[in-house]
Amino acid sequence: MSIPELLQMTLTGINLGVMYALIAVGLTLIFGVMRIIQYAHGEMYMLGAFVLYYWTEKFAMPYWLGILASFIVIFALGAVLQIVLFRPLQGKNILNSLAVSLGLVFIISSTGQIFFGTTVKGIDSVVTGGLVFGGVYFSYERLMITVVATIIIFSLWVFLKKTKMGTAIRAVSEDPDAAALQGIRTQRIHWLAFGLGSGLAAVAGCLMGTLLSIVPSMGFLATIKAFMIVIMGGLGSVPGAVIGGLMLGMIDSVVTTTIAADVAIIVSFVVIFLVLVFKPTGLFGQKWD
Amino acid sequence: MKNNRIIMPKTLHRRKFITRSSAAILGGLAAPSILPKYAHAATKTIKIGGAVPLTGPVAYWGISTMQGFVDGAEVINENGGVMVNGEAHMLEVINYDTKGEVADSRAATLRLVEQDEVKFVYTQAAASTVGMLQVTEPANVLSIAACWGYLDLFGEDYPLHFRAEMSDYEQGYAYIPFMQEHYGKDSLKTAAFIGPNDQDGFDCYVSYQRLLKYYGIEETGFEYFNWEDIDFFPIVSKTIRNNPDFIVTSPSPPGITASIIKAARELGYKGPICSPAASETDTILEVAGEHAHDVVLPVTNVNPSSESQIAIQKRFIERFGSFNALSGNYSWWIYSLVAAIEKAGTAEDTNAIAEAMATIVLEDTYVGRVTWEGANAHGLNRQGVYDCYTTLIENGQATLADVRYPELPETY
Repeated sequence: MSIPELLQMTLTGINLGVMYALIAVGLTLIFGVMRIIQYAHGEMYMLGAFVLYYWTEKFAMPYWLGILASFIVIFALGAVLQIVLFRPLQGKNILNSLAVSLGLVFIISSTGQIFFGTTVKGIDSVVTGGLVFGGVYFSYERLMITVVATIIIFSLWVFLKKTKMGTAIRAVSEDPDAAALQGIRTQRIHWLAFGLGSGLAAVAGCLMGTLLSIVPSMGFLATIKAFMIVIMGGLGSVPGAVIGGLMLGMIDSVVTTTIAADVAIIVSFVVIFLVLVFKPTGLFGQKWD
Repeated sequence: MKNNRIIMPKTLHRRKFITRSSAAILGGLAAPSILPKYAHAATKTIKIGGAVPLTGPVAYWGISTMQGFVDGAEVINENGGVMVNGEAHMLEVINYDTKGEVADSRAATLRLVEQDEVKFVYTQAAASTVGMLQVTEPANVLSIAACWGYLDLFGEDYPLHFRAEMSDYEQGYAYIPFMQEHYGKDSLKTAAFIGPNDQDGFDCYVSYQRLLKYYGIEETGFEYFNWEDIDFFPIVSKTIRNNPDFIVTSPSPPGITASIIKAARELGYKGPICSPAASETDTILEVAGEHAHDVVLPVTNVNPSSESQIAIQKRFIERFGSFNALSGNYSWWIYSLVAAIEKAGTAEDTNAIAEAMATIVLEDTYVGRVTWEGANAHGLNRQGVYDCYTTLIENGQATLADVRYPELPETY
């Protein structure tokens, strides 16, 4: 194994890891605030990608505005879903919300297949080409997507840490009753967090869709990856989602390149098992009742 | 209205739950539109069942196959139907979604055979073929499939099973000579393989090895991808490490082929990439974009030129709103079956129809001349062989580059 090959693997791993993290932060945010398992998170990711596809490919509108539009549309959809479907289930058995989110998976993915078709589609990238330096290929597209995803994750972290609204979200996440006693409108925080989490999944779908391809069934894999990451990183933890995403991305890249793709899946789960054995709450998770 | 019945497993896995439910909805919506309008008016009807993947990762292949049968049945019915001993029979095509899963295909085929009482079933891709064969052969039902692997489920032990689509093995005797002529024999001395991590992928790898041996090409490596893989950068990085002169990816659908092409070109790989299973250019051009260059697509006719090819393209666009080369490739299956029924003089005796079908030669189909071959290799003439139309994508442009009948060895 040469140094350029190692560097290439590392670059690919970081790129994948950041993308995985972007999918997972939305899921962990939703769980942290609402304590529900949103199985249809991957479907938000898929819908986000298709919003951008139609925006750019069918209506020939600008790419970056399309990502913003995708975020807004899926944010709104997430907020409406929270208000209409999940709010009535608040405080009830977690299996109820689980059933609702599973139902959403069926409805959204089936509807997607009917409206979008089953063939694979592609979104034109705004950046093409690359640079070979020291035997390592730097794809401008991958570089751009990694940087944008990193900025978005960092912005989320700043938003949660430094703004009044972010503080309110964290307060609700840590203790909803105490937050309500402090005058925080928890219901509003719930739909905001659900919308924000869904919107982040949509942006991840846009970026991944540009890099790879899009199809209505793409949400399933995204959900699986996101769950693996948040379980490893700790449910409800944004830093955990980032670290978990990077770990999974590096495993996917390094193990696939050096051994085989099916071994990468095995190694991913072995690492998750080890994390859970030694730290049952995940790397950065807290103990949830 | 025909609809899919969801058979719930004892252990409900999320993935199966999702795919079955979504397919039920889709199947329910799709079924009425694929019933021929003449079916109920006919005094006698021949039912043809489709146990095809209409959803899931190989839906593109399944839908294309279904379109060939739906279109063919309409055309044949409009022209007076199938003549069996001087009596006209109308065709009815009934389709159920297999989602590309063995169990779902078995269930769909059972329903076709037991409830709908079909004598002829067609399917697409390995998993659906495996599930279908568990039902059709014991029930004495004739089957037509596109399946490249599982050769132990083919030949003398499965006398009613026809594999209509040329596998990458038969195609190889057309596309490798073409590539050697186009790129120069000395430029193609080594090759690498990328395929799915399943029995179909393993069997295609064996076919590829046999082809390389026949043409004296050295293998530099092989890699299997998981259907769950998202990014092909790692696999392609490993594949091109030994710098093969060309890459074969099979059996990879168009979307995955495009992702492999894009990754390979981004990583600086310059050699030709051949995908015998993609048979489609729109997705490859859309997903791979500027990276779609030196892509060889056997059995892909993007420039229909004969009168019958243009007519098929026109009909498909009118009937389904779009046309792709793969639909054209599958459009002849039903005509071979109908010719066999008429030749055998029965719509019931599937053994007689199978014997007749093995002798059918069609001269003017979308894929040119079609015959059934494979007697030496498989014990029976049950493998469709036809003119291989090879499309070449260069600089984002797809053009038909070659047409030739595979130069199969004497032992085939």
